[in-house]
Amino acid sequence: MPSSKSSNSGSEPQQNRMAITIDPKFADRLMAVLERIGAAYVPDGSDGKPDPTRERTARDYDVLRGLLGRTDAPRPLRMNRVPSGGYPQAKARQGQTGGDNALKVLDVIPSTAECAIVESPVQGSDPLREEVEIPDLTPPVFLELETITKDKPISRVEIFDDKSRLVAFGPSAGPSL
Amino acid sequence: MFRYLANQCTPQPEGKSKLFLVHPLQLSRWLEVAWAAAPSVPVLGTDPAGSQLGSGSVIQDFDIPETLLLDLEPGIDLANPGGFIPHEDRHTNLLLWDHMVYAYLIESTGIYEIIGQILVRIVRGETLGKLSPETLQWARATEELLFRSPPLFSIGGVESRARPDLRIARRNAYWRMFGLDLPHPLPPSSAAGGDAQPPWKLDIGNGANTSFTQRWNELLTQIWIGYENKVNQVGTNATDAEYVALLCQAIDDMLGNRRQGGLLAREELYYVAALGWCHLTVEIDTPLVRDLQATATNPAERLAKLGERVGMAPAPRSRELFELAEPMSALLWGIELGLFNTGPAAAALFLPTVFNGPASKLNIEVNRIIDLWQSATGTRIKTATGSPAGVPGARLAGQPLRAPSPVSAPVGVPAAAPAAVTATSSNGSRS
Repeated sequence: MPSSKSSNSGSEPQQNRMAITIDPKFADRLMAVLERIGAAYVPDGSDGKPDPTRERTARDYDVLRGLLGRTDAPRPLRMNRVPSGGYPQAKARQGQTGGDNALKVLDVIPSTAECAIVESPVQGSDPLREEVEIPDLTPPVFLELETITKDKPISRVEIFDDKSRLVAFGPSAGPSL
Repeated sequence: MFRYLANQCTPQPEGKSKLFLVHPLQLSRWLEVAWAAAPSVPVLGTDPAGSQLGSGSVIQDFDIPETLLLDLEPGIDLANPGGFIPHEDRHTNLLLWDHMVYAYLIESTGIYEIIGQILVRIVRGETLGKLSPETLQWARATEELLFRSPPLFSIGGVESRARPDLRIARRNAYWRMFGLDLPHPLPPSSAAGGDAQPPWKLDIGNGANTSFTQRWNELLTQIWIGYENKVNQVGTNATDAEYVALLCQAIDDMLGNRRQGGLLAREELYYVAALGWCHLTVEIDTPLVRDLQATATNPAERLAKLGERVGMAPAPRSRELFELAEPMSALLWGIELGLFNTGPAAAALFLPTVFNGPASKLNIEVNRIIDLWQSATGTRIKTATGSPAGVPGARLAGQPLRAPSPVSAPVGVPAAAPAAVTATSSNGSRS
């Protein structure tokens, strides 16, 4: 009595094995399922979080496109570094405190802006970062700096919306002594 | 450069034509301001600030003192192109000019020669028919900015008795940076005959990056391997982000060698500005395009129609060259800024920021560069890959070599035209 598995046996004649084909529709469905499994696969450790290096590189590229004037890129904003205290009304309106210097934004900030991250370079280490909330977009907007004091240079200013998307950026600036 | 300003005109895109109505002296002075503003760009990448120009001090070395700069205030008012506004509201903030490759790719279309011939017709006679006042303003600005010597002592002063022909000077810069010639010959009025070497290859010593194309093709190939395997977790995966980083470093070093001490920085600013002006002329249906009945849906077709009016033909792959210029400029700046000099950073060229997440703008642009580069040059980057279902061992055909064109090839003309960048063609010359 022939085995029910005989068709998969390695003892079959060569010409029978060559005749085995895969139903194209089945193959397509199989490939689709495998692709879905592959797409759903998340390697250990990534946990759906952005890779910090790739995220930074992609954001640098976005800033670069903004500098080159591409229309769909984050917008470059003009900013001046000013001493603290010269703008009490704006300061009170924005509810900001402390600090010995600030960045005065000369252009209109995108309406979706929520916060700014200001960076100051540190020799041989990661840059010093300070996050500044932007509660009021009424010009002129001042970004009050506390950690980054006036004797520290600024390497970049990035402005994000409520979905953490980069919407604008500012210039680098030397110490304001 | 000038397109940066034009992008701020309203409404977009038709407002871009307002820039042609600005006085050419203001536009020329604006280049001075744009040069001086370069040090305030934010710090990007791993290289020291300004090193992408070959020297951190090249801007200060060549800029005008601030007081003189204020005396030369351009005062461009984009809302009122004939007006003047004080410097507090100047439209120059943070900007970086495009990479030299932008000028090379735009000039490879043959646009400079075609616009030059149109200008000759406009200023010498009436063979182009009745022209609008706006077109005559464009012609005046084009003649002043592109076809005469730049103002004395300006940052764009890269024409002199030492290098009297800007066409040859630009070819010299392209050859040194990329080891590439323009695909069309010099017009007879500029061609200096008799020498075994073309004039733009004389006196450069060993300072030409003749292996640029080879490194660039290899980089795009490696990026594509990474792109193909971005979700591959089980099969053979030839992706090597460290090697991609090495290739980026090699190109960074290669281009940096030509920029040592700040060489070619002023030339790059001026050439990019000039070719950007040409690009802007055909970017939309400008007054010139309308007057010469050359309206179309893309710059390449407008250029072809303008060329017809003066008996010239642009490069066969102009469409790809126009579309490639901006993203390739950004990517090469990124490489020269050192954005991709480590393996994890180089992986950002083909991997999204989140595993299996949406593609970043960088991913999208790099993929587009590969498509356009292989279509423009005829160099296949996206090789055939994978196996059709049910046919083990067989190979799927890759995508077609050439990008789809809206214009049907005439009967009897092969779809694959000669390479636009590497081979000599008839673009920019009389047909």
